Amino acid sequence: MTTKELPHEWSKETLFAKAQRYADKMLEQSKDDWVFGFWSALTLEMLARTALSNVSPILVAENRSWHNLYHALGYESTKQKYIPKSVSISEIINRLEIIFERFTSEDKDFCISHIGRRNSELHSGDLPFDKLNHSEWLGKFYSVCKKLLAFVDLKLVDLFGQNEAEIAEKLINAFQDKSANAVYSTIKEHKENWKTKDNKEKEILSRQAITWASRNEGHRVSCPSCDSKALIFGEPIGTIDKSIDEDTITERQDYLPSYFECVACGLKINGYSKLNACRLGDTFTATNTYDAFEYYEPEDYDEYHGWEPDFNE
Amino acid sequence: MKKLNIPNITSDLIEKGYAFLPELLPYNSTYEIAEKVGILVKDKSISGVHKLVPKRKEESNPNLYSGNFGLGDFPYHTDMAHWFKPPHYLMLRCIKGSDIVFTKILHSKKVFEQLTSNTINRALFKPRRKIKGRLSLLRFKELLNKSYLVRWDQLFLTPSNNEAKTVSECLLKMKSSQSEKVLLNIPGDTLIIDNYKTFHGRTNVPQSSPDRIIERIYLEKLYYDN
Repeated sequence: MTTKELPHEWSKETLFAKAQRYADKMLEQSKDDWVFGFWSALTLEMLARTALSNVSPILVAENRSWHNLYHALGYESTKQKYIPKSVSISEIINRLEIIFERFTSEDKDFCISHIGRRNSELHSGDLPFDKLNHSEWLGKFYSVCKKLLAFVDLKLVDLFGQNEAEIAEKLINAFQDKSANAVYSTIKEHKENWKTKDNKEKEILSRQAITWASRNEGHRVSCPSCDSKALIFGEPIGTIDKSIDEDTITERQDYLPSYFECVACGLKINGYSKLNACRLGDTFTATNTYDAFEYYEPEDYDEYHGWEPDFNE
Repeated sequence: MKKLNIPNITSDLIEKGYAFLPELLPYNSTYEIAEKVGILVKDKSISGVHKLVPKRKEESNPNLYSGNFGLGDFPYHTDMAHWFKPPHYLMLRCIKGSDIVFTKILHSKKVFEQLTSNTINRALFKPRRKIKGRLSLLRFKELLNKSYLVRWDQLFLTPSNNEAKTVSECLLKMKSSQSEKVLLNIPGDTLIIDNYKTFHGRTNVPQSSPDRIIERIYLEKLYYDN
């Protein structure tokens, strides 16, 4: 509950202050120490909650009980022995993916994985943070933190301080370079492989690719390895833009690329960051047109529409 | 409520963080004056007029400034710094004055000059005592819409990170010579302090002036706010 004396425990301000406290604790440890990874997971969780709370503290409340929503609104529940309950971190992350366009499925997967290690640390005898090479995850960690901070108009320096923020930027760049190098390597490999095919085989595969691309839903592009027609699939972002022109309804929806496939040379690229690295990361728009009647047609419409259900009388 | 016409009050508050109004309607009560300059705080725990009389340590309680500093200097602080939302303004009014006890006022800008922005923005404190069973981290400088508030109290807040320790050390070293000093000497002398932008304190009370009486009232907002 918010009063003049106390901030709401689910407010962006208190959650971010807690994230900063955990980040300070994290940075007191050696990066090779398991405790460093452990505090980083707690920092990430608190930062995720901060980002969601900034939209509204109600989104942080566990919504199976209205008392939690009431509490999130700043009221004091009179229910006996009431303890405010917030939503699970996995649900927080799900909500972030839906609400924030720039929070991709890759970011979500990383959060689930990293915070999952914290669960394993606390709820089992396993040692998930031991022998965890920080060079494998720290760049991505800082990249996700940077994104979550941007959602609340803050920067890495606000959470980690000047010194560590500079290091974080370097690690983010290195992570993105590494990701880019990996995808360039894959493209090069497929290109080399394509060159070994004879012209007749290439022509057949290219024509098959044209047919496949025209029959499947996706955004048509040229393959960076073999130049055949290929498809990019994506995740919808933003709202649907609807327009009506006489009897035609047109819907436009923007998509953020998440997967690329070329059936000619077999190149597949998964994940927005990799697609972005090889310049296939631009958002694309899918347009669908409908006949007005078809658009508003009731589900059970048929030639007997308007009659009572069939009955043996 | 018709507000009092006070020239320069807005510019004084913006530039100096306080406004001094000598001998302002001395026959009106502090409450009446306060109602004419702004909106009073409603929180029952701090609302109303408080009579401030110098006390020796042994005459007061350890939860009060006088119980800790007695007749000595009251160090720089912001009022209710341990609250999440402290009162925005305090108004001090001379009932029985002294010509040797000063209220000292230090604008936060002078403190910021001594610190890096990293330190200022990241310093976190916590109240020394739980409030209603809870403790929360509080920022030294908290952003508010297009403005900010600062909070600091060497008694009621404890530093929670290294940046806060640096802030505390800086404030403890700030000298009286760096602040403005205001004398509440004549009945009706009124001092309005912006509790969000300045730190204030009091010079020591010599044995010859122990019967100084100041009245204090808190305001949420002034009618002269931008």
